[in-house]
Amino acid sequence: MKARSFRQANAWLHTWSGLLVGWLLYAIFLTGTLSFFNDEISVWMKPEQHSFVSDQYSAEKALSALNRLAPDAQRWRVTLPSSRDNATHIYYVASDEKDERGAGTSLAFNPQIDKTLTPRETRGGNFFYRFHFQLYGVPVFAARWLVALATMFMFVAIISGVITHKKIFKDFFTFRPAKGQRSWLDAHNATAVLALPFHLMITYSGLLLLMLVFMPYGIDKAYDGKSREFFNENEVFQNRMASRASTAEIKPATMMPFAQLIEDANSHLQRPISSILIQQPNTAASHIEIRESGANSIINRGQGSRLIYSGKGQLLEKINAQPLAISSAIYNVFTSLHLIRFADAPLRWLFFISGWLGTAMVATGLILWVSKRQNQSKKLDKIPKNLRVIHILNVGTITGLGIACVGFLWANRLLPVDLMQRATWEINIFLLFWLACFIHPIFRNHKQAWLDQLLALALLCIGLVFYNVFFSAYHLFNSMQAGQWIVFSFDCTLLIFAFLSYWGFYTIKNHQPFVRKLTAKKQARLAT
Amino acid sequence: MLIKLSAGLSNKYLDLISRGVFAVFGGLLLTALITVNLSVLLPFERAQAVMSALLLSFFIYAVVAIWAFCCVCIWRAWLFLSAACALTGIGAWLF
Repeated sequence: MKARSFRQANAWLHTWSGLLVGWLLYAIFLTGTLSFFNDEISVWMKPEQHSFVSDQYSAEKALSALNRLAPDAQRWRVTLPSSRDNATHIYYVASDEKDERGAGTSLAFNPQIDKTLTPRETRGGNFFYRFHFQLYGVPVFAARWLVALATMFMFVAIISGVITHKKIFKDFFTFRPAKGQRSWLDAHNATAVLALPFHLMITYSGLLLLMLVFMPYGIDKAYDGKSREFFNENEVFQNRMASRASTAEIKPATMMPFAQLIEDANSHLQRPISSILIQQPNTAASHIEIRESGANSIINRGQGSRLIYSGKGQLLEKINAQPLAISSAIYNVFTSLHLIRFADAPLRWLFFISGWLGTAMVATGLILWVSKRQNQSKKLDKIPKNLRVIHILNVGTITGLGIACVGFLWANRLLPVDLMQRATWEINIFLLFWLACFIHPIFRNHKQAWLDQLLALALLCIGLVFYNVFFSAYHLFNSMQAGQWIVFSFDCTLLIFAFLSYWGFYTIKNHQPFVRKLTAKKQARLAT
Repeated sequence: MLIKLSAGLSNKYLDLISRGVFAVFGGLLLTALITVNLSVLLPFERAQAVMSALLLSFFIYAVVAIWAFCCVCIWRAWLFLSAACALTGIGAWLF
């Protein structure tokens, strides 16, 4: 093989590794970006609870509701409203239920009228969240391993991409619009460099979050295969374990009045309460854990303080953020930034936009690959078969996934509320839309396929906003007055996506293929 | 001898596949072995040593992957990789 320079070899590696996992990375980036608004998407997808308003008594009212519904439950949990979710949620595991993953009953609680409600069955934003690291319908371990490998490719592609770039900052300020392949390269560079710190952070932290799937060997060796001990020993993972009360003594006992409990807890916390977990309620073994909203520091995974009470209302312990060893602190800072559970709206939007830049970076990279080979194939006067396959995969992935996501939202509104396995049907419709977007470009030429799908995406987005105006209680024109900011921002975002898709449609429609203009000097030389 | 060997196998696709396998699986193997060694050998508390090794592991993997595509002769790189794996393998077995 020919000897290549270090930089050339990196360019080659960047191009091919990028193409190999580009489609998967695009899907991970897009659904991952949507997951920054995981909770908000879930709220939008449960219109039944849009009108819920909470007051300062929400917590005790919710606890009283639990006491009426399931006084002898094994566990209660109350999650109070936040800026990301306007509803109060209650959850309990009934006394005769087996306490395992997925057990229990979740209900939305409206404190104003003191009533519970079961919203329509939907996976909500959680579908995108799960999809971005374990896909759908693939065995969980295999899927996570595959996503970890793709993330590793991304990590290598970023490093080799930086090496490829001799003039990384100069290139960043260079944009040559409407110049065909050069423009795609510039767009790829700009989206990559503009958010480079974000891309590096999100990729590395993504690897850290999947490290137990990908690199469990060190733990296995150091702990002789008893990896449980690692989680017990390392403070990073300790907070994740839900504390469990002892089952030794389950004699009925009266708990302290809820109002008094909440008042006492508030006096010990700086910020509002976010959730209340009660193990073995109404027994002598009751164990109450109250969590504060917001974060003390991202070194502690963005968690606030926690208060532990006994059932009689005695404050047993206040758990504050603990000092950490350096490696744990690094792990926590990176993973907290990835999960951004701590962030308020402005930072969340910044991450959302950065995520879109990442998505656009992958998309422009894929298009650049095609654009480069398109020029070569023009000389041949026909499109080679393998380039055609990549055309189809590009359209089906880039615009197709967008259409599938909006199709998922349409399914949420149109499917009957009492349909059996409704949540699964929403996902099936997502998959059907996506499949259709892969089949459609087979029958259209490349340009026409882009045009069709961009227009479809624009119409689906704007159609959904109008559907809401006519058929939902809260929509673009009244949600702002009602203070339903989540619904308002969601519909506005749909409008922005509709506009962007239409802009893409309009631009491609009026696009003339770029022809290199000869300079006067060259023309003169050719003439002679 | 190596040069002769590489000349004999200078088929373009064989070279490409070799580099790909080297980067993905060779990289994974060597990274796993180094991580195992570091998890035991780093002079911190056990939980911290394991965590530090994990934090480093992805950089090691990235370097091996880039090496796979930048080295002039992939067959010589295989030889180095085998030696490194043997060494770290002995380490993983001993400690």
